[in-house]
Amino acid sequence: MMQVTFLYFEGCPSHAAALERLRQVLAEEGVQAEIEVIKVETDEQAQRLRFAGSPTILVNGQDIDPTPSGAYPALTCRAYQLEDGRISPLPSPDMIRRALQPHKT
Amino acid sequence: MSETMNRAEDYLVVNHFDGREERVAIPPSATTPIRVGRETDNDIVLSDPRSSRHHSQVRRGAAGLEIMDVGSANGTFIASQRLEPNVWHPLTVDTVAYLGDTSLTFKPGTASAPTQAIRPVTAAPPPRPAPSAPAPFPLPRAAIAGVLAVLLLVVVGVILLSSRQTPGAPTSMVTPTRSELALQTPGAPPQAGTTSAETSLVPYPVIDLEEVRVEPIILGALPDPTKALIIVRVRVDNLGTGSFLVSPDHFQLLDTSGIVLTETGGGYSAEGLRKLGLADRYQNLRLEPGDSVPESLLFAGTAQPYQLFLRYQSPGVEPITLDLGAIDAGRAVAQALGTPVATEAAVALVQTTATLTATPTLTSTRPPAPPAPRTVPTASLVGTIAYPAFNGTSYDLYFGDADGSGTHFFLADASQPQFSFDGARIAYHSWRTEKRGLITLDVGGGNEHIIAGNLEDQLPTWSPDGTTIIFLSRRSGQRASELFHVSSGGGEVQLFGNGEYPTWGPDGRLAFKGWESTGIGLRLSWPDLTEMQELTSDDTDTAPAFSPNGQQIAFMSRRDGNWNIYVVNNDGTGLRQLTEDPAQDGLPAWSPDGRVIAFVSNRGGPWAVWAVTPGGGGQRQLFTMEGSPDGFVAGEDIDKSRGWAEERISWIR
Repeated sequence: MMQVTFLYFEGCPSHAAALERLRQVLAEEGVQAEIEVIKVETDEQAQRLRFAGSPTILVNGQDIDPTPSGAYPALTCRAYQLEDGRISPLPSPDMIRRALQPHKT
Repeated sequence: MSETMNRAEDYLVVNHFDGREERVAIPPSATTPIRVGRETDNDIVLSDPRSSRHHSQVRRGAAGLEIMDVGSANGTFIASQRLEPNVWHPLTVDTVAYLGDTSLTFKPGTASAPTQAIRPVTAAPPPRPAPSAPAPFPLPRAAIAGVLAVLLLVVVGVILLSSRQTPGAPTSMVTPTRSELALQTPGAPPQAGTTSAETSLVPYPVIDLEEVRVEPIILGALPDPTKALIIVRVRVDNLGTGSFLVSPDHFQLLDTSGIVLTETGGGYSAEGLRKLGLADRYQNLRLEPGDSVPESLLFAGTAQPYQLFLRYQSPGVEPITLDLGAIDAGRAVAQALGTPVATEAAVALVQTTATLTATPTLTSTRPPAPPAPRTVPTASLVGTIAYPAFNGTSYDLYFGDADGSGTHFFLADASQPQFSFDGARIAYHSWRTEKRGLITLDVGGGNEHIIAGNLEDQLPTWSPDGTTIIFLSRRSGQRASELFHVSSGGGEVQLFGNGEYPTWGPDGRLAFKGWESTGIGLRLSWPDLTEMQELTSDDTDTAPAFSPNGQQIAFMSRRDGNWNIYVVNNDGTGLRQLTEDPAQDGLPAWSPDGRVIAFVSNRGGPWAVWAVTPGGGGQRQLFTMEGSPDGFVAGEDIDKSRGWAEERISWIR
């Protein structure tokens, strides 16, 4: 079964909508997966989890939008560059969908 | 005027679409036509995308200067009249000819002086052209397109249903039609054949219907099945040359049975309206020529079938009536509340008849070629605008889509955003007590650094290469306004001089508001304050923002007693005022292509991000902000929180 991990930081307001979007895409794609939801609460925890910012979605341990190597994990927010160039606190459904494809059996 | 200008020569003033002004001498012997267009083989080369590759020609004829359109796509206009192609027309002194969003004005020299060359003679733009000389707008074609679009709607009768669900109160989308038809009653302004002078101050509202939907009225936990809320969202454009007022109470719904529903949104709280999706509520907003604004309207009535018309009546403007068609509010409410309805109701809540209340005779309801100001190019409205919104106690940081399609809450307790030049990183001021000061962050996540840890540290600005941040701080014991620089990854903070509101430009120079030793007004210098020059001299000038090519600097000023947007060239010449609204306009930011300046304004009530061209035309609202940019963070003194005067918005593609 596909492992999907959702990491968030309470201070970033987009996490609820991001989790809902993740669930919706999984349902649309017919992916059977349990979502492990992890609330990141301290900088130490962020360092340990290599948390790039909230919201972060991992599919089988891989970030759906990998950050540049060497990024410093921190208790912070992140945004996503959408296909049309806009920047959004939420990953687009297509971004999630594309990340799922290689892991679908 | 440069030294190469021969004052005796006649010349053409070319106002380019991006605000630049060029003067081109016309030799007395210029019987060979001067070619104008986008191709480089022209004598006057335009960069205006609305001009054609070979657009027009100018020559000296027997009776004076003449101009000819050479078959351009968008035409050449004089006094609102499109010139017949391939025919020479007189171009008299001070007459303005419009080519797309570019204008040509014939100016006489002081005397004849022989010269052989046609050459640009001015590099620095003089003051903004008078706003009473707007560029033409090919309305007949737009109007015809609008009518055709509506007629198409009549034929197709498209009915869309949506099933937006809200807890306990499911919503029925009745008709998300969009039409750019403004049906004016007979006798509407400007008449065919009216002279340009007579039409020079004619307001010309066009109502663009964006959405009609019906929702039940919920009283406490109980819905009232006998009542309905009819929600109408419109966009109001002013295609004329005079202004008019827009306000929700200028709208009524009229039913053919004689029922009149007045606008009732004023009885709702702001929060209540926001929950209904009615954030755009502009009260007595003066819509200037070229402006465009959304308006959200709320009507309450009995849950019953209607045959509705939306009527707009603003003082001094002829009424406009839009046919909304048949709307069965009874069925819509029943369906929303889960009451069984007939099967056909699912597709027949609205019959978009779209019949016209008056036959739209273009020559009588619209000016044949109404002059309109330069418009904000839609193609420039791309990317993201980061902006702060005050939530009552602190600031939050939002990302707004420049095309107005959405706005997104990014980060709490943060403001003063600025994207790095490459858009990969963002710097901002953090108001969180556990992480106060200035922070840099990869937009994609990670790489977060607290680069300055005092709450008095404000307004971080990126160096062009992204390695360094300059910021304002009043961290000293004397609360002096001082400028510091620090590595964008953090490190030692170094003081380098006095000043406020720093903004780093693409050529590496810094624009900032002078303070004490650096004088009064805006200044431009290298980051070590060498080669400092005066851009402006008014103490209220602040919030400088560089155009992408670094040639111009937009800023906000209260020099006329009210906050407005201005632009000045980077050598201090060409100062021009872009906005003149009695509301508060401020915090300019250029579009990535340099063709639009965004700014925040509370004109009409709600704070919103607006746009204007660098020439001062086509003001339009982009999106409503999720709060005011002007707030004072609870518990912080003026050295740490100065409201919007020390806020920023930032636009990146």
